[in-house]
Amino acid sequence: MAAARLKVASSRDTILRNAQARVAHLRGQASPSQEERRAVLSALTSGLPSDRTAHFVERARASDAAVSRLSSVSEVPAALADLISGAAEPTVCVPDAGALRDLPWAEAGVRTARAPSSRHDDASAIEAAAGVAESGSLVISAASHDTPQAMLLSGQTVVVLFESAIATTFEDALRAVRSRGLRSRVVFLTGPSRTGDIASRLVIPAQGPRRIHILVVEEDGS
Amino acid sequence: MKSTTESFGKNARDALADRRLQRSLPVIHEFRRDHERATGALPGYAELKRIGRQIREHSLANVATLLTEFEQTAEAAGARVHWAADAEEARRHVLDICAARDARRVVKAKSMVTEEVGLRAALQEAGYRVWETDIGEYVLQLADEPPGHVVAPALHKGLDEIDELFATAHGTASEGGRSAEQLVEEGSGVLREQHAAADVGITGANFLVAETGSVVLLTNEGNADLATSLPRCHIVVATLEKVVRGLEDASLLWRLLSRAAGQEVTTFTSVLTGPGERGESGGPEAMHIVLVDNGRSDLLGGEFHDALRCVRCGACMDHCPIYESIGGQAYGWVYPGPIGAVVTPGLTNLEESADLPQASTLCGVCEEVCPVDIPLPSMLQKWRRRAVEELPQPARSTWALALWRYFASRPKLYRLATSVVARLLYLLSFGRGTLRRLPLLSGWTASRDLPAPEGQTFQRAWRRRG
Repeated sequence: MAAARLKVASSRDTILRNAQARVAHLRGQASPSQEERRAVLSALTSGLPSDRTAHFVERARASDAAVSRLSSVSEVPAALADLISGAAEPTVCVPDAGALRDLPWAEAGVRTARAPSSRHDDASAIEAAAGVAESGSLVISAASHDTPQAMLLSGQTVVVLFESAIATTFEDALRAVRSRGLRSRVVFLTGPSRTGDIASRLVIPAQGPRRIHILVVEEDGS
Repeated sequence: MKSTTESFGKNARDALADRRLQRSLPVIHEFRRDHERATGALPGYAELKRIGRQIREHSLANVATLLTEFEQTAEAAGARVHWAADAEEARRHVLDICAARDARRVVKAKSMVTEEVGLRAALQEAGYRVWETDIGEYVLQLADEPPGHVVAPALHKGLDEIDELFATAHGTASEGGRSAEQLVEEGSGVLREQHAAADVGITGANFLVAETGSVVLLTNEGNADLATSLPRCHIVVATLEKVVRGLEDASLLWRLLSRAAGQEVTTFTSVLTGPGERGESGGPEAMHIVLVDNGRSDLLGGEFHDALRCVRCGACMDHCPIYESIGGQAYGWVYPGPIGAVVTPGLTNLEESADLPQASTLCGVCEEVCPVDIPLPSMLQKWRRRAVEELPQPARSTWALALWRYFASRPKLYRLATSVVARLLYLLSFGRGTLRRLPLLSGWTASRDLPAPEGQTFQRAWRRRG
């Protein structure tokens, strides 16, 4: 065991020493400045319309997510009840300990669970920490695996996104998410899962999430 | 992974004669259209390319410092970092981690470096049940074949072949003719069960972020996120050049990578920092990151340093006329296409892979479409030069070059000889402009006509022009 540790330590040192020596003559290489980065991001977003929410909705729909708009978070249980109304004895997994968990689900006739089920009739309800207008992506940020599991395993993934949390770029969204402390899981999710691996034909869904429905809430969620 | 680069010529001939493969390969024309659409639609793409290249150059120039920082931040976030100088050490780390966790079942998302180090075979030999969970890789596991493309590993497999493979493996009664949707549904169901039962999930990494200790993964199917969300242990196997300084470097690069691969943005861009907290349905309590060198640090700072900028988008192979003709498996190792022909001699050895840099028309499109401007054609030429300098050459080419040198260093004799040969070839073509057969040049004329000279040399025609 001691010998194994010694070997591990020596591999680390050998790799780093070798790498360091071989690039010594390149150390002056500059990283792009903040101005250069800002200029690129400005060029990348130059064609975006001024209505960030409308653009997010358009891009999200283009990624095969469904989108509905609500004026208040209190409308979420009823909206979700509508989405699963045709299903047989549906259960909605609500993993978050936050705002969604405290909503009056029972009043809307929605049966909730903590653990996700992969039955096609079941759904999950999770909250996005942010949205990205340039791509129509949702930012799912979580410390525990409950939220990613609900996102991945459910028959239908319903994501609540407050309009005020829609950022223009990935970088803006990252800054917003990091300002609350970088969590162990930050997933930029753009539409349902997909694959082109079977005879190069695009198939949606692949392994999960199967369907995504975004509820964009106008009311400020902060 | 076992290399067959030494028999590249035979591999290529077999690929040209493989009807199923030849039926599948034209799909890369669609990949080219996707690339053009995704890059052309983005205002500022040229600027993004320029800054992306600068980020990669900066990352490589500071790779040792960034890796040291990454080790500290990743471990502070709860991951454990392991260093592997070569393939054997990478396999050993993963086997040790699995053994320490008393694991039995392993799920593995698509990762080129795990192919490179032969990880699945090593795990299976040690008695683990291993499932490739990317649907394309799963198809190839069932077919017992290596990947043929860095992004679309099973692009050479037709619908009927996959139907047969699934029917045999899953015991499903198929009379053939199942759709891609049906096959994905069936494969996903099988793989979902394996994810739920697995003890260890293995993934690669697209980027390693020094500032935060994060691993960034770009995927579409959801299998990589399942592999990092359900098993109790997540092992990342990543090569050392994947490190970048900050998340804002990674975000610019993931735009470039997905656009160059033909997609505006991948379905999942997952930033994983530490193992996270276990959930209602389980999930990792441990995260291990194996940093693999396997010859890369020797390429740093040298003639082939720029190849390490590669972000594995596959654009160079999608646009390569050679790849289009023979597919990826004929290249004989992990990385096909122009980037494969550059990195394979560097990561394995030139002696066995000297034919790969010859497999290029040097048309230059690979460099044009590369999102980080890797000068692939000039690197292929460098390998060709080194092959001539360092390896014994076939007697026929040595003899032919010696003959050419003899004539070329005697201008009068050269002019006389070329005018005689030009006249002779013109006469042999019987005015058709092409030659169908020619002694000593059957390698050329067996598959295409040789353009015939017009009867006089260029020098003579120039003189007559006055």
